[in-house]
Amino acid sequence: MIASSIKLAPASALHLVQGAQQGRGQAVRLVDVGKTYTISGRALPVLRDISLNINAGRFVTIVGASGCGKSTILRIIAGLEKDFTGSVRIGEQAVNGPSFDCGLVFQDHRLFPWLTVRQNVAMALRARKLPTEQRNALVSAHLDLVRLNGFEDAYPHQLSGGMAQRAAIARGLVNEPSVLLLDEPLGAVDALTRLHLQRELQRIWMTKGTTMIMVTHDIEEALLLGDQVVILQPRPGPAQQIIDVNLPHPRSGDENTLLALRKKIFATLHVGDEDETKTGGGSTATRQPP
Amino acid sequence: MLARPPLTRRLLHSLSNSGLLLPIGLIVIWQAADRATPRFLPNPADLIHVTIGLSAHGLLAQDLLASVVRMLCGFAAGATGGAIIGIALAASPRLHTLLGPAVSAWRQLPIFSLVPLLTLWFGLDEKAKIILIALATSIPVMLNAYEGVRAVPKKYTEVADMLHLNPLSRLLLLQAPAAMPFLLTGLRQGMAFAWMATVASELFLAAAPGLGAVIMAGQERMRPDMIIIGISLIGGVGILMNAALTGAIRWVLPAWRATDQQDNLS
Repeated sequence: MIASSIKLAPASALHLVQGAQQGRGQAVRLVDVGKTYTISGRALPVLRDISLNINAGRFVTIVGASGCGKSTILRIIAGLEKDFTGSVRIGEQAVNGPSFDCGLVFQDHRLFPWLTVRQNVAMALRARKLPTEQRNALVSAHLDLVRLNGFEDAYPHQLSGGMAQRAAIARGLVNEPSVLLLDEPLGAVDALTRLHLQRELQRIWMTKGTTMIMVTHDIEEALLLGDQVVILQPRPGPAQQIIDVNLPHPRSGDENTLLALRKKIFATLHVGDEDETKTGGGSTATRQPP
Repeated sequence: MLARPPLTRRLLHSLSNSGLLLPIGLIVIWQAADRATPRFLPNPADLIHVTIGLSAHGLLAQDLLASVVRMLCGFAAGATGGAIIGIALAASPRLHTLLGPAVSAWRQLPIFSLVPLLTLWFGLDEKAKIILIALATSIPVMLNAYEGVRAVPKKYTEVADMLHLNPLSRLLLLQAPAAMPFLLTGLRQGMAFAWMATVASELFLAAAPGLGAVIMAGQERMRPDMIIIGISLIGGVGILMNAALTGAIRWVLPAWRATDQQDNLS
């Protein structure tokens, strides 16, 4: 098991605050999950027979072409999609709506523009009946975790895209969910910030031990972070493929194992011979634009 | 170095740039054409003279104050009520089903058609006036507050869902702030309506100091100068109050605007 090789950072203020078992990852189990959207009267299947077993405390990444339903999987696990078939469990609990077990970080940070960074993060604790002191300690600890010290009182429009996304991650984590879902959280930040935040996410995950499921279209990112990479096919169906990444964290991204796996995934996704599969063997040069 | 243009031309230039050229020009022509004006159109110099005469007794100031206070009372009540009803209708589907049709019928009703009924119920005094002003204010405020809450982007309501915000937190942290730009537009419209209703109430239901009463007195005493002074003050107060509210909105909204721009870029 890869999970056993992961060394967790020594207990920090985070763990002192949260006390007992909170914040520890839980397993996520999807059985035959399907989802069909109805668009102007026509049924449009986006997911069919998706089954996944995600062990507690792991980092799983999901890649696939746009439109393959990868964000929908996260929305189902998060409890934001009501009509789906199959079953989803977090730990022992069946998902039938948003729950405190599960945090979600969106591609656009979705911080409320009229609240400061601190208020945005603290908002996530409003529904919990916590003493003020504990609430403040949790907020501060998570702002420290994402390294936003000094920006607590800034408004979202005063932050860079990367910093806003850090704040959104703090908001997703401050409840100490056992599962954190990340829907292309780095999709909208610039390339350098992205590289940096990938390492930050790795560090945060190693600190917290939360189960993390991240959707991305960046295969290198998926390999750098994931213990497992789930590859979804463009057409809805059960034909997803799971690649184990047997490499301890923290990873730097240029390990040979990762490079080899990248080639393998590219082959799976038919990168390079894409034109031929699409046009049924026709040559790229003579292909007419649609 | 360029020679500075003559003072008169600079003055003319700044006047035309600020949009004051037309009104000031008209006043000048009006004064110059004094002999040709009809009997019931006093010239500007006379008007200023009369204004000073009336103000000396503190009468105009009393009327001005009475109207503004009346307007602010009605506006405050109407804006508060309108905002509460608008937000509640938008936030609660059940309430919307219950009250929605009645509210849309009510907003079509010309508000001044209520004057006779209000007079029967509340007499000619302050109560009837303030109720009329409040009703006039409440409609645009309510509609805009409703639209504002309905227009809360789904991306934010999903965050609220994920975080289990209860209805009160949702209202305070999401719906009310998100509706703020709409609400302020509603307040601006509401204030224009309130001022209109103030003057109308004073015309319909005189019997108390007010700028509308000044106009009515002018008509009864065949004093066009009083009527024109009343109209000028009413227009002036309207312009000032709108400017004040617009300034307040500009001061409150930058954070919202910055976000919109950011969202458009991404």
